[in-house]
Amino acid sequence: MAKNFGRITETNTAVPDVDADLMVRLARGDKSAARTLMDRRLPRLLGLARRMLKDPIEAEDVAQETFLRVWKAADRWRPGEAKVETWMSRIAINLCYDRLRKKRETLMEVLPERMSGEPSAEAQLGESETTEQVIAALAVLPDRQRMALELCHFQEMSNIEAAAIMDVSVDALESLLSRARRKLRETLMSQSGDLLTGFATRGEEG
Amino acid sequence: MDIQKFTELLNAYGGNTARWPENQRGDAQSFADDNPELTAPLVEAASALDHMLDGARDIPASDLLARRILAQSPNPFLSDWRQAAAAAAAVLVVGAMGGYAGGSLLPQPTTDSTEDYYADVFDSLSADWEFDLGGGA
Repeated sequence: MAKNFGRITETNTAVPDVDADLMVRLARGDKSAARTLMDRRLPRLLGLARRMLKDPIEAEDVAQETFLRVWKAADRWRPGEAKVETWMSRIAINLCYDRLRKKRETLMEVLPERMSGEPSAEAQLGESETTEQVIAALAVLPDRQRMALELCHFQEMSNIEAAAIMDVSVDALESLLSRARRKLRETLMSQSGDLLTGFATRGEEG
Repeated sequence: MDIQKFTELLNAYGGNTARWPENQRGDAQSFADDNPELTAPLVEAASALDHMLDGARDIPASDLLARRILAQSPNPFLSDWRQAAAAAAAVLVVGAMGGYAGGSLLPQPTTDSTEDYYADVFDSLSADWEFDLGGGA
């Protein structure tokens, strides 16, 4: 049955910013606020950077740099201007975008060893096999398809917003999304028995 | 809305209408309600993929990364420039008061040797002056 369809869950609007108080405390140098914000937002930022960059070490660098910028700008942050989570995601996306752009310039010269998107052994530590399989499937998508999916699916941006960031039309964005999802379906559904079982088990546990 | 348009949107945005273009949600919902036998299997397949993707949304961070990030977080004392300025001003005031108090504790000379020095100097000047006057007369 269509369980999700029809249940419109507005994720971007009219939701109080749960991190606003943390930013005020952070500006006063409250270390516990820094830890809470980090605990709350680091896994998602790390996921974003990992999916976009395909490299766990680079993803960690981007996550760290994002927090560093937040720390530095904490005393200038004003409530109501943007949700902290959205702001942090934008910082991370921009950092990833810059790195991808630089990579693209050198990609023709040297193909990375893990072009297939196969995760490193270290990367698998602490991450479930199912998550790794999804990340590996995402990693083999072309950059622009992956970026479109990142913005629309994971960051839950509107199509207009995502198209503007990528500097493409909405039609072009939809085409990128469709191709990305088709490719992912082909890759993941072939392993779907294991994957769905893995996620279902995790859902029951969590 | 027809099945072709519905499928196009589903293929692009997945099974959660929160991700669909806002201006298409109403029509899509009506179409799904009117044609459940057509739309339900498609939505189910799209939602299965969404579910897999959502499982890779967050990645746990290592303790080392967490420590690196926290080590760079704002310092409790110096984070506010007003606090830093107030601290600097306090240091200056305390330093000035300490200097003043310390100076008053130093032993004072019993006779003013400066006055004697000036007296000697002017004595010699007056002697020279008398000499000149005398010489010029």
